[in-house]
Amino acid sequence: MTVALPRRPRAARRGPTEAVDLADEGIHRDPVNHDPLAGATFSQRLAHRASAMISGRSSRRSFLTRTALVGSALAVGPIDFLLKPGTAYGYLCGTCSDGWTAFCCTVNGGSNTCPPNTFVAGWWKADNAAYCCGAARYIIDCNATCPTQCSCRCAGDSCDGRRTCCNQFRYGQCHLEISCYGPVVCRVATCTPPWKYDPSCTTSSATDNRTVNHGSPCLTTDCGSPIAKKYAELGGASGFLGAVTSPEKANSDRRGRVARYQNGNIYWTSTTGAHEVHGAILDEFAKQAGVNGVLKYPTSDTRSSSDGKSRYSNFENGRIYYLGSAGTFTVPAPYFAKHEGLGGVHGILGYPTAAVRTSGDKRSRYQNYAGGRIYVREGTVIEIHGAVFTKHEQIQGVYGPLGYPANDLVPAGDGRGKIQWFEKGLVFYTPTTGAFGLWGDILSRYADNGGVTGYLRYPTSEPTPVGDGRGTYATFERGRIYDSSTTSAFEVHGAVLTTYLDEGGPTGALGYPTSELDPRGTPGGRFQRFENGTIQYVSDSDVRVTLNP
Amino acid sequence: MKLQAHGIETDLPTGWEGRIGVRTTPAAGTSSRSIGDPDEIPHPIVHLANFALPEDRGDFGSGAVDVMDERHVLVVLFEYGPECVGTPLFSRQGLPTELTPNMFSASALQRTLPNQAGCQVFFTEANRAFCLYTVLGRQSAATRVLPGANATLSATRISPR
Repeated sequence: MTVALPRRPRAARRGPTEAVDLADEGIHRDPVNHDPLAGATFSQRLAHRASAMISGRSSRRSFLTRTALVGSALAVGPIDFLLKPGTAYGYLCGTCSDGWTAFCCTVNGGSNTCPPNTFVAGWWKADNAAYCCGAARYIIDCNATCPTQCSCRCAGDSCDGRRTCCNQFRYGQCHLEISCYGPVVCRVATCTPPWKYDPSCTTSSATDNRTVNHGSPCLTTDCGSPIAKKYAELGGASGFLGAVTSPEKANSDRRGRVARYQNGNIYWTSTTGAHEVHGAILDEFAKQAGVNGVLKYPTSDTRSSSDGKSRYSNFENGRIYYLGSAGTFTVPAPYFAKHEGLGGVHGILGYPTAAVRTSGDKRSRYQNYAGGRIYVREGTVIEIHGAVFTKHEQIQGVYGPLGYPANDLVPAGDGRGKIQWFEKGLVFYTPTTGAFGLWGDILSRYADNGGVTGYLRYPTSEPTPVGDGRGTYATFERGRIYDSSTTSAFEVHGAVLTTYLDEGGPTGALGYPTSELDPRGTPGGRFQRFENGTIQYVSDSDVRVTLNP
Repeated sequence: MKLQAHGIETDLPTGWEGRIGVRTTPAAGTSSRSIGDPDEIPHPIVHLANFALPEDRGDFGSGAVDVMDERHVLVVLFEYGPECVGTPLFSRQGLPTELTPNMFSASALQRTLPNQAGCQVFFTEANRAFCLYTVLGRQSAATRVLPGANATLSATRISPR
């Protein structure tokens, strides 16, 4: 068998490091590895040719001893293989000289996945594939990332002796954000549509039926159960799941199936499909009672978050986040829907920082996040975050004067601030004033006087003891409200407040206010009455104090 | 000879032939997946050549490249979906019409075959994303065969869809 690499005209050869950047022309081959064949050194080319020759000579002799390969040949082309055994090799195997690229399981330690320093760059399909039980078979190219860190060579396997890192070709449906590409390092073969295998792939279809029977001893027909297919897709025993420890069996819920491996499990139901769960996420899943717990079945394999800070798996009723040394946390329903509705880990709450807990008063369950908390109480799911959360916690949280949050933070309606209702009060927030809670009679007075759109604007303190054992007061951007055990709550503002404070405030001669300031235009003048006197407002510079006799 | 279909038209020089087509779409709602998944979207594919195109060809010319000799050139225009427009891979604007020998490489082939060389240009025209894949039967014959390929490309028009 002749297995020489294609010869090139001497004048066209370039060194491997000579940059040929044609990106402006729409040609995105790696500029520092423009032509891997030409870039191969003389010794590399000799080795390439020699290994191809060895591959070609030994392959047929060892072929029939490879039971896995014979099994594949029987599955892929049973009639021709049995009647014309001389053609069986051609059904599946390839050599370095046939011009095709080797499969990833051949060059990637048995794993039918893209190896390091490559990316999923494109795909094609071959119709009516025996490898996929008569369905279409998808071949996904793993191209080297730029700069290319591999050299053109023969894969060396006795059956899959095809090339690796030689063909600088791109199908172009995946990772469109990456323009520069190196040679195809290897090919992933799967019965799963590529856009489901890698979400970066588009559905633009390309077909090449000549590759329908391309095989390798490490590829098996994908005609088993969904769990078996998933296991094979993840590299089988050579993949991260490792060897089977408990064969596939039905779960006690009669709904799904599970198979267990050294390093993880694969779960399947007809509605969720087959998905793996492994590592710390599997440990956490087990703590949550697995498929019999709140999460139910997995709906995704383990994924990486776009910020690179976590790995996670989705389940029918929630998600588990693995955050490395920070921990592994379940966000179950209904927390999950609320969390996702607020932007998930990229939103205002950020990552979970603890498991779901039951509150000390047994009235709620809650989960903490980096930016706040979600309470579930009496069927309602309420979030609290940011400065409002901090303030609530400062005043004893759900055990303090505000109690539990009653709804989420909402705009105040004035285009400036926000309000959150609680069982026994409200918290008002603006970026300039911060967050402050109001409750009791002071809140009632504030609301009666127009709240955030009234004269006082936003609070700048909580109700605070005056210190005389009788009263409390709260400050606002434009005044105060005083309340006491023997008087109602009244607002004091402007020049009247200045004079009142000059007179010693509630602990001075006037005592607590007992009325609001008379409205503008009141016949006989505007007065505000106090326990022990009156303040008359004539103008900002003319405020008169009269003490009771 | 003029060819026109799917918003692509070309006027082939003497001695050239071509096909413009779209593969069959897998039927939605059927259980058969023999020709792919119902979510797949085949787009127009153009094959132009100065030799007799075999009937059974892969989208990027497999089957055709096997019968090429040193006089031959194969031009493939493979269209992608609208989601590709505006991405870095398809940032070049306009169908190339001046291919030069230095653009070609014996490595830049879907399947490397002795003496052959290829070139892929990803581009956008008329708000449609394409790959132009050109295969030379013999790399050393580039200067002889590329004028014919460039003339064919110059006579090719892509319209908005």
